[in-house]
Amino acid sequence: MRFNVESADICVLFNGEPYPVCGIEYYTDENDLFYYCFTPYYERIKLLPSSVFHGIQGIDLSLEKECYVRKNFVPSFISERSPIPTRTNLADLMNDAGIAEYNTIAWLKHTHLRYFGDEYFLREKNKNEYF
Amino acid sequence: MTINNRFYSGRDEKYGVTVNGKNFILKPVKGKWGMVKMMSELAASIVYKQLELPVQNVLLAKWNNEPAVLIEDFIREGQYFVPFASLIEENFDKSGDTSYSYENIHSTLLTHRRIENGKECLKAFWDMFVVDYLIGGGGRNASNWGFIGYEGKLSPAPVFDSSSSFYYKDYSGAPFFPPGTATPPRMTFNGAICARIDVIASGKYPECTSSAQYIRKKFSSGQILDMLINAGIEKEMAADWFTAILEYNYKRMEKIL
Repeated sequence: MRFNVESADICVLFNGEPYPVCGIEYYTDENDLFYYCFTPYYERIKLLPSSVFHGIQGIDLSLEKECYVRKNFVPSFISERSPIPTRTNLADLMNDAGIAEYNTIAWLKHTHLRYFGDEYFLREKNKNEYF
Repeated sequence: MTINNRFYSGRDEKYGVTVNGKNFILKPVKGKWGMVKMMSELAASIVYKQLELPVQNVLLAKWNNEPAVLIEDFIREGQYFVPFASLIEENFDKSGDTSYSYENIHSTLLTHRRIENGKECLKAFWDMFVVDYLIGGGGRNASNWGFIGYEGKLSPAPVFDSSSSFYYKDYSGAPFFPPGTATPPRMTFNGAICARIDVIASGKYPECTSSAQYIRKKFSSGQILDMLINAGIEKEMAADWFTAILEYNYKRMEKIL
């Protein structure tokens, strides 16, 4: 089975700079099967004050798992901050972000909109700055 | 009013806007039921206010000369929002029980390490549940209620997103004709979906009974009618639709308490 993958870093703003706290990968195949994988950067998270980092929605970080997998359901972290496929103005939201095909991670990486509920945002992975 | 860059989830078209330095959600009236959904959202917020329960502020507005509704964003500087759905999802990696059942709601609210006062959260949940019954509320999925986080601790958020209430799809301009097409809640009761009135009548959850008793004492149809009219809802719609529904549902609940 072949999967397409879209990946990003979940970031917070720390000292005015984007600061990656978790990787996220979104795998999809031609049969509409999909899964999300969250890979927290525990060593980086430990350095943040609680006013900046307060966990990741839907993920119990106290388990310290290397990867949190969500298979064939959309995790609340994603459903809270990206449009659902039945959103009435979905086409406008996609156009504004420059996205041709519906893909939550791609949309979150490119949109200028920010979730009302926290300060987290997604951007392309930049492996050079991790450790 | 200026559009800002805040994103709000859900099916309906909506925008983040700033008015006099405050953040609001702007929902333009769209589609077949747009107008009645807008009025229902306003009416639902008024019911909560009359009952002195925390709720989002809702205002009627105009956007590009078309009707719209403005809903106040309750997140303030330094706070964050946590939907109940995300607390249940955390169980996925532990017990695996992510069911949206009353039992799971109770145990999550009473035991989650970040919830400051589980009993307060339980009360807020059942108050919302009983009011949702009175207003003929929608399914109330697990993302449609939640918590405000501050410095690592969670407390109940005001009730929000009650637009799918008051049997809006039944509205034709004629007076309310009972019983109305009620949407059952998404939560499961003994493994099955069950009407809210039956959950209240079961007496299985003391906190539910307490909320219903509080609301029975506090509810005033007359006050609500005045508040609806003062908020800009036409008298006929306020009396023949909104308060007619509330009175019908209230009387049913009164009989079982």
